[in-house]
Amino acid sequence: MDKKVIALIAVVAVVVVAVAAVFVLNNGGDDDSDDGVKDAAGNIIKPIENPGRIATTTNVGAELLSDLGFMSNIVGITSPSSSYDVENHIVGIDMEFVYPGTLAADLDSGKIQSVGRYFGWSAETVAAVNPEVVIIDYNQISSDDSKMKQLQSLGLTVIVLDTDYGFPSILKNYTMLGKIFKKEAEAEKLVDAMQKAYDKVKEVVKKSDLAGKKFALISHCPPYGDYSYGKHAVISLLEDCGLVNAMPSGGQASQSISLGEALASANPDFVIFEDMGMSLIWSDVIAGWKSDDVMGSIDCIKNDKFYCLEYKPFQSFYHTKQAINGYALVGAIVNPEDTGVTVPNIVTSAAWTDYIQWLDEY
Amino acid sequence: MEEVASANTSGAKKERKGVKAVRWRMLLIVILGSIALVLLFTLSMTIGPYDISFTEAMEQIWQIIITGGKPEDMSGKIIYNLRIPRSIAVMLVGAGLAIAGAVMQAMIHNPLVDPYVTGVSSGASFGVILFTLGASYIGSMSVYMFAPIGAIIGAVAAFMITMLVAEGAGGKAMSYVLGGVIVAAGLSSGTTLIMSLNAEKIHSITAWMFGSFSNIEWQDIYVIAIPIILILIIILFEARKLNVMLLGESQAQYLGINSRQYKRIMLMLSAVLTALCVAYCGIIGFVGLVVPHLCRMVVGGDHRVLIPSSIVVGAVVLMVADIISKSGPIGELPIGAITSVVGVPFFIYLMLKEGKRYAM
Repeated sequence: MDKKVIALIAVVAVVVVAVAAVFVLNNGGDDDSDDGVKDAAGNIIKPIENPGRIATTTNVGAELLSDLGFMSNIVGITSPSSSYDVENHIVGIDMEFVYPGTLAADLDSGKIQSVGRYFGWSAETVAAVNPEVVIIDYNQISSDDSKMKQLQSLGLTVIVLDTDYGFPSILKNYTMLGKIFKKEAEAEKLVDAMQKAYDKVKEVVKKSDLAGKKFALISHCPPYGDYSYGKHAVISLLEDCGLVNAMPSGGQASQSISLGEALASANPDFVIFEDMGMSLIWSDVIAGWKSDDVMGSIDCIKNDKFYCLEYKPFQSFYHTKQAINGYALVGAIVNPEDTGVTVPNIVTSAAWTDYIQWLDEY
Repeated sequence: MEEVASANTSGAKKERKGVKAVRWRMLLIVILGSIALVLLFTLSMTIGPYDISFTEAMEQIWQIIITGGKPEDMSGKIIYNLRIPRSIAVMLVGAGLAIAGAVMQAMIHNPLVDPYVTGVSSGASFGVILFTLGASYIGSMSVYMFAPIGAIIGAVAAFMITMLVAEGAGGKAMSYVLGGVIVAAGLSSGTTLIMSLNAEKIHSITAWMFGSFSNIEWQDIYVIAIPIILILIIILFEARKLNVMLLGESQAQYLGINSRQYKRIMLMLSAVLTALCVAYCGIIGFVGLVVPHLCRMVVGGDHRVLIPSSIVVGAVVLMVADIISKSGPIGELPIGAITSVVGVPFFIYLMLKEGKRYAM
């Protein structure tokens, strides 16, 4: 065999052996870890009574920390500050919450430091705020855990939050953090309250005329295209209540569609639209649909069984207690009779909370 | 006769002087380049979002040495765990891409080729994305396992396709450029398809493709360092034969080299080298194009001096680009964009200057 070929094979063999060696070294020495809490990445975290300085690379983490009484421990959060412009009151839950407090203003003024954007942070930008504990989302490391490992190599405790779609995942995160920070009682109280509120919404949705019917959740983003959601908090609630997603996306979070054709083919009983924060003028969009030969002939468009959400109502489905507000909106959309609320075709950021108050009285 | 003999002797003397001058220039480049690398390495220890002054960096480097890599201060941990492996990776990748470019230019007899232009980088990145996404589907987040394997397979496959297309189109120099463009476009579509089927991972895939060293860890260095250094050493020893190949395939054949086989092996080696460079830091274009040319302007085309010069200069160029990328006022800039800012005008200049000589 030619020497060059031997050399080439030797190089590839070295790569394979190095990879295998690193794999064995990293997996051969698991810590004895029966007395800790497992996070979403499989890290076993020993309970921490006084966590000290905490940085989080997700606004979800900031809210969870605040809800468990650790707002003053937060030293670093993600930008932009508009992520923290959320509701302070959660319908259906008779509790006072501190979040978001002055987080947005503190971030803008530099009192709390930014660690970068949701996907734009690095281990160094987080370390720059001198935390002792860091909370990150599983989504941020799902295909490459280098950042998590870099943070851990700096001696920081890293806690990874679950990011599965669905209400149980939200409760799981509260419970997990409650155990880690020894705030089980506080976490349990909030989890119970959230579960009760969620159950009320489920009851309302199941009682509606639309129970068992078909729905669709669509992102309408001209000129970039239209996407039907396969996974989302709205979908998990509606499917949990027995409704059917008329436009599933083959296991993916979303898929690109040709709007008119896809809607005509799926023919859902109602559709929820959102615009990816592009601030569409929905009245113009709707007028265009009504006058379009294809869109105007689709039943749900013709019969006004569609709801166009502006930025804030759609963003209410954060992976925290905020989702309860979003669920309440869906409950009102699906069952106007029992909620006593008629949700208009355009749900504005200014007025959306008017349609969720029913859960406080239900 | 005496005049002829005298002319021959003075011609030989001139040639020896010329060779000596080139060797001195190479030595100068290697020495100055090495000094520059040390300075840049030191500077790199002080640049980043975490504020570390020069004196503190020096203190912490000393602590790292005396504690065997277990400093106590956060700044020491950042230097040891983040900045040192990053800088090592930058130097290895800079040297690797430069040499891969130099070898491709020698084998294809075309000064306009480099791993980026021939589609090899795109192939490597496609392989990485395919393998790492596949890994995450089976529940493994460990990129270090699958990235280099995917990169090598992707790079070699991409280059084989480029070679087939180019040889099928007559094997002329410009064919490789056009073949590379076609392959890169095809792989780019493939990557887009993968992204459309993995919408939630779009952001991390896109960010990776722009090129970044911010995720480099020590275990990445363990995987790529030895193969890259091994290949660089092999190519250093092959410098004489690379010179012979410059004479043309038939001439090289007369001089005892199985030129076709040799060309294929060296190009595969440069594809593997490129793959190792791309595996953990994404696509970084134009280093393999710019650096060999910069070195040729000073030391000429003799690979015995060009290769060592390109190793050092490649490492320096990428270190400078990395320091610039880390110094961005709004966070880290993609290093691939920085090398392109310099590389694109240089490529245009080369095309205008050399393009007519290498037209189809």
